[in-house]
Amino acid sequence: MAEPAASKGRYYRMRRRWGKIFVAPAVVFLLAFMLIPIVSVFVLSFTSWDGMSTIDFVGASNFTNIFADKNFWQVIKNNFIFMFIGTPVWTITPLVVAALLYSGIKGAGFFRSTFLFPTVLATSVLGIVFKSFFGLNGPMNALFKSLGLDFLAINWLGSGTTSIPLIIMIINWAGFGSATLIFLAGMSSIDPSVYESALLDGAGWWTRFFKITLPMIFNVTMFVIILNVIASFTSLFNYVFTMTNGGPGYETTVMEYLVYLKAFRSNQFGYACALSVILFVVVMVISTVLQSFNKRRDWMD
Amino acid sequence: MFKAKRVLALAAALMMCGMTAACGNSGTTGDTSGGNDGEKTKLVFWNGSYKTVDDTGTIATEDLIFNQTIKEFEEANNCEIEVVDQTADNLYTLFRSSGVAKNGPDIAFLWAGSFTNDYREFIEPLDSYFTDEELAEFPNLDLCRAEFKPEGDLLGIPTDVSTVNLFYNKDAYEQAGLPRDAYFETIDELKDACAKLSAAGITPFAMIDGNGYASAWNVGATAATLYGPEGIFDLLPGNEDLTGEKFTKAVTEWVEFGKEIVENGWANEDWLTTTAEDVFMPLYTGEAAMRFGGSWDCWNLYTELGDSVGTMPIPSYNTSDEYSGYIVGQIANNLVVTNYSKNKELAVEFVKACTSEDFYLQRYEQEGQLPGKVGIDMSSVEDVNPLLADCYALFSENKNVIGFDSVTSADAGAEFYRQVPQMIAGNISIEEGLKLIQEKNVAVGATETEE
Repeated sequence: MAEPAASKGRYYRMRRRWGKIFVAPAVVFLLAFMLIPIVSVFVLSFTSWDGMSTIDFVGASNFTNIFADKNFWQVIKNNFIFMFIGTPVWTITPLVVAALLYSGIKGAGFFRSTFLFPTVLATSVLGIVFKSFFGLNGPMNALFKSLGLDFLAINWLGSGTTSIPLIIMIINWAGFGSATLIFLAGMSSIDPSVYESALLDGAGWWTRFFKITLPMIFNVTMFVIILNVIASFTSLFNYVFTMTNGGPGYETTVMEYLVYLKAFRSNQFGYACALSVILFVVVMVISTVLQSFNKRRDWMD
Repeated sequence: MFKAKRVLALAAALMMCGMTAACGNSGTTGDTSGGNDGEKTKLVFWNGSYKTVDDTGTIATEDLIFNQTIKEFEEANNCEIEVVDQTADNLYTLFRSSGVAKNGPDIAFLWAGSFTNDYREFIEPLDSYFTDEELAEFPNLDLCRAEFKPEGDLLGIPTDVSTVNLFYNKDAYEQAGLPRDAYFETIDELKDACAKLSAAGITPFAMIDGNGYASAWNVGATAATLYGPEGIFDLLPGNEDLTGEKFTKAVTEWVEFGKEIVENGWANEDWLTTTAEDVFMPLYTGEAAMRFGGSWDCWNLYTELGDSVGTMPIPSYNTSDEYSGYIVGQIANNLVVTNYSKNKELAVEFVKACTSEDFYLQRYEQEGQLPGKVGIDMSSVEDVNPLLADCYALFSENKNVIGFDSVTSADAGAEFYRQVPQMIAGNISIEEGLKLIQEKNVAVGATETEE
């Protein structure tokens, strides 16, 4: 016998009520510890505040001062260098490694686990260790000299020209394991019959990779690219702080580090909040543009 | 089924409340306690420097002067003092946060100058707790006053003073044909010494300027002879423009010498970027001869080199300057009492206990820190570190000028540390760099000084 419509509606209403009750704690948590601080940052970006005394509303002067500061443009340029150079490195390396692992090379299981090890290390620890490695009198330069490669035994952290690529390389070493897993997951979702058909048609490894694998994991690749782009703006602080302190000058200072300097070294919380808002807008715009490339038809259909 | 859902929902709500309450529980460490712990009043002391454990293994923990003072004070006042060791990296952020929450220490050990002045919002003025006779025992206290003005509230009591010095390895000097007890009055004499050291195969300087400190010390020295003890306050935010003639001259003198150091190979190759203390190893082995530093280095240097290390003030860049012969010497750190402490008078009494002559002498002997009072007879200290004795003698000549970066804004100081090494490296002109520094020399959140 079918349930009366009235009791069905009541049932769903009760389900929705209980659902709201169960998610309420999480919502309260999100509001208190995420939404309110985010809104506060936006509001404080229009103020002059040292974190202690009264908050003075100054309108958009923080933003005009930021855009008039020569150092800001150097800093944002550094972030874009990380983005344009780092993102391809951080994307292609795990992609190639995943492709090799997926093709079933010997020891794939061992490598799959081993490549994850750097991911569990704290980034600040990595920064300190690599700073020591690549110091002027560090073991890397000693190795280069012993191999007769004296031209490589330079002060790697002595300028942005060498320290930025070094940081990119270190991040690549530290993070490619998790990105490899993401790619492997994407590759695993490809129907093996597609590869079988290609093999029957005489397609080689490269052809299968470029004509089948890459197109079919396009969405996954875009996801990784977006993550790496965001990371080039939001995940560099520990490396910069431990390896270069943003120097020499501002050659390796990035936006996150500048926010830290302004807030906690210079007691300019309003200015730092304005920098954070700018950082948010930049990352949002770039992510949105990249996401627009991600709209494509489902190849599995 | 509905009953089970209600129970689950209630449990989830209770769990959230419990978590929130746990996050809000401030615990006992760092609390300002005005209440009683049984019968005893508790003072919380945030310690930034006093030794509470001896790392040399030669002094028993209970014999360290700070620990002794705590014990005696607790017994005499029937109170408890909780010491919380804070690193410099954390101290100021925590001090600000705790001040906003009014839930922090009763007493804190802070760097003198901007690092105290910037937090005056949370600091109890101490003028009314000290007599004029008591205050006269200290050097010029303007650096410890609000906005560094003589009429400003007294915010802190000095714990120690410091001088900026040039240290040298006497053995390396002797090897290069220089006198072991050298004293250079001018930079030209220092340059001649550098040439001789370099000819003898010794690197003249073991230098770190990745953090801009070597530049700050040298510009401090040049500014001292140009501005003098009163004029240095012209560099306060809103006063003299740092791109003006005087400060430009101070910076130019050092930058030109710095360029000469670099071009002649008179320093370690990575001097521009390194901040690591291990760059001083060549100084200890004699491969390098000198380093810029301060009285805070005396303890370690004497431990490493013993009588083979000597010191002198940074030589004068220009003996015709109005204040030629003046050095960078200032109050280094001070003790402050928070204005939200519930036991201010007791806290001040403890500050007085930590700033007695006996305390200073024993701390000098045990930790190598120069006393924060003037005119103390150091002859009673056995086996005095001669480097420290030299530094204190220099300070006692009373030709001291505060380091310029203690009066400029924190932002301008930070910009200075970044830009001046870049000027030496030729990556930015002096004019451009000073313009960037001046843009930052703005007071933030300044309040009116009480009349």
